[in-house]
Order: sequence, then structure tokens, then C-alpha cells
Amino acid sequence: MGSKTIPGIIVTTTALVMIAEGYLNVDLFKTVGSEFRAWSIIIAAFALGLAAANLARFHLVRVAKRNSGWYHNLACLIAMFTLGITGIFRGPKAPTYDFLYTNVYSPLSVAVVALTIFFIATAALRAITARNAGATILLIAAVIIMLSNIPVGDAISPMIPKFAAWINKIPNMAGQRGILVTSAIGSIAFGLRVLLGLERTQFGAGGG
Amino acid sequence: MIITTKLLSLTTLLVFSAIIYYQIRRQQQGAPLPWMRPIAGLAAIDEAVGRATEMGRPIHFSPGVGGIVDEEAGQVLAGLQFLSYLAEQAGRYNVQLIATMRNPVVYTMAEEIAKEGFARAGVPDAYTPETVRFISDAQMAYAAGVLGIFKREKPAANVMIGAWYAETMMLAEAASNAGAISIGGTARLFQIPYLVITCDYVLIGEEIYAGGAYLAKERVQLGSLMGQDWCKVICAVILAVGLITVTFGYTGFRSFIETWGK
Repeated sequence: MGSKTIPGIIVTTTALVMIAEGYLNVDLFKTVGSEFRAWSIIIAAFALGLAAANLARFHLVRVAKRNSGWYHNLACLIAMFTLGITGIFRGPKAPTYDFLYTNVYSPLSVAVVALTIFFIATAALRAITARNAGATILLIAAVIIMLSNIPVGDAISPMIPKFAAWINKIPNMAGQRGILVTSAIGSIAFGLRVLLGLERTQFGAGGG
Repeated sequence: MIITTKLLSLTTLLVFSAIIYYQIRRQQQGAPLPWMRPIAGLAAIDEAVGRATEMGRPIHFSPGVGGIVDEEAGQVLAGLQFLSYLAEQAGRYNVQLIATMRNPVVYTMAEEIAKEGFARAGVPDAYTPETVRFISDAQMAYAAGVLGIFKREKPAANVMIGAWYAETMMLAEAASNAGAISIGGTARLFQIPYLVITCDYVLIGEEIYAGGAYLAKERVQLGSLMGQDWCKVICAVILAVGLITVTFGYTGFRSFIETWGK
């Protein structure tokens, strides 16, 4: 058996059990499905170890070679090892770990989220430049929706909030449902190919 | 034994699977190749590789921030098909590929996929530990890491196809600011508008699953696409029947769907 046959068999068996668990009221499938989910957590933990090793190796090499911006890599390593060692030896509920999480990680994470506003501004500016018919429709719809969400929209014309509601409820909903239906069919087809062993990209094989 | 409220769902799954399988078998047995509607986003993948080759700058790829044990698994796996193709092309044209990962499990898969891609191109040594990079499993830490890569390494092309969440806008826009051509794709409804306004090319919904058929031109994939088209025809007919019956005041069909289609 090839190196991709055994993983293929495992994938097919697991998928069949999980499908059966979803549609059949059989205790055996529920038990086995629950076990599989527990295994997936264990596998994820191992994968996290491999990923952390990749991260450490990547940054250590750059620091050792003094690549440009190596101090960023060093900062990443210090942060990773400080949090990692504190979490492993003191536990995730230890005051030190909690302090680092609350006062270092959380503010930085929120700061990155806050950056989104600047990207939204520049992206919106590019998007609403009426270069063609599609962009023009986008621009008109965006202006109507924005006006409907501020008091001045209603003051300009009571029709604006009504038209905005229509845009959301009819053309927007129709488009979304079309995408949902076709995505679901695409997903079924992809799942079937994986199930039948016809799709092996995930094992590193090329093509289908 | 069968959960009765899921009977219609199960029937649909089986019927659609049978149709898709039948079309795959037909293609495997040598049926005439179907005509494929050109999808600009898929054609742009080669353009992205060409651009990176000419400019001597890297290609960035990401399958999004989703995992493979949740409902977005299909999107992530579909995204990894593009990694396989990009790795092969990057090896063939001697272009640096940077694939960034948020999910550790997806990272381990991506490593193997990229390695095999370079091996298929005949340059297994072109794969280095810097090709597939695990950034962080925290969403915003991942986003910040990728923003840094865009800023420092200035990729010529950015391919982000998979399961995307709140970081979509900032990553696609940062890639654009770095001068990269961006190809985005997802089946997550709320992120599609962000991709549409920030990326040069977008794969919407099922188009991300069609990548293999377009890029690899394999009969299995083409058959699968044909099967999907037939399933869409069935859905369109059901929608039309529902529309007509409800419009003329007959609610039996709607009640049937509502009762059994939970």
C-alpha cells in the first residue's frame, strides 16, 4: 500500500462514521464520533508542537544570521518563550501568566483589530471609485446604505431608509442565497471526492 | 434509526452525491470534455506567478484562518489545492513562495503539500523551512505577522483562498498597499464583500472548489464540476416550483420543505 493509501482509508472511514453520526440515531456511531473528536484535539496538540518548533527555528535562524530586522524575530522569540514557559510551569491560571495575557497580549490584539478602520478607509476609497458599471452600482448602493444608517438620511428623504431596507432584503438576500446554495453543492462535491479517494491534494498529491 | 427530521437533508445529500459520482465516472470513461466558463480569478493564478517571476519577488499564499475539523474544513482544503499548484509553479519558475498558516493542523498538511509541489517541479531542494510558516494560532497575532511579511518582504502576488474571518480586509488591503496583485476567495458570505472591494480577482463561493478542475484539468475534477451543474439545475427547478406554488396560493410544497427540510 502506498504512503497515501492508508491516510486515504483513515479519511474515508472517519468521514463515513461522522456522516452516519449526523443522520443515524445509533449509539455506536455517537460513541465512535465522540472518540474521533477527542482524537482530533490530541492530534491538534501534537501539530501545535510541530508548528511551535517551526516558529522557533525560523526566528532563531534569522536572529543567528543577523538578517535585516532580526530584532523583530528576537522580540517574537522572547514573547513566545516567556508566555510558553510561564504557561507550562506556572499554569494558565497563574497570576504571572494572567498578567502577561491581560496587559500584553490583549492590548496588542485589540490594537491590531483597531488598525482595521484605516484599511477600511483606504479600501472603501478605492472601491467606490466609479471605474465601471459594477463599481458605479456598488457606489450607489453604498451611499444609500450609509445614508440610511445616519439621521440625515431620513431627513433628506424618508424613501432612503425604505430603499436601503429593500436593497438588503431583496437583491442582497437573493445574491447571498445563490452563493449559499452553490457553495453547499461545491462542498458536497469536494467532500465526495475526498471520501472516494479521488481528491488527494491534502496528502500532498498534485491535481485531483 | 434515521433521524426523521434530517430525512430530506439525507436524501438530498445522497441524490446529489449520486449525480456527481455518475458524472465523474462518465468523465473517467472518456466522455467528451465539457466547456468551462472562464473564471477570471482562476486564470489570474498563472498571471500572479508570472508577475512574481518577472519582478523577482515572492508569492504569498494563505488558506485563511479556519481549521479542518469545523464546517469551514472544505474551504481550507480547497484553498490547499491552490497551494499545491502554486508550489509546483514556484518550483518551475524559481519563485519564492511564502505560505503563512494560522492553524497548526493545517500547517502540518501545508508543509507536506508544498514539499510535494516543489518535488513535482523537479526541485525538491527549493523547499525550505521558510516556505511554509506557522505564524500564530491567535487570529490577530496571525494577522499582525502577515502584515509584517507584506511590509518587509513585499510580495508581488497575494493568493488568499480559504476560510476568512475579520482579518480579511486588513490583509487584502495591506497586500495591495505593498504593491501585490491580490486573488481572494472564500465561501464565507460575510467576508465576500471585503474581498470584492480589496482584491484584484475574487473567487466567490463554489468557485474556490472548482480550482482543481481549472488548474489541473483532470477528468475527475471536470466530472465533478458537471455533476455540480446538474445539482444546481435541480435546485433551480425546486426554487421555481416553490416560487410558482407560493405565488398562486398553494402552500403544500412550502410546508413539505419546512417540515422535512430542517
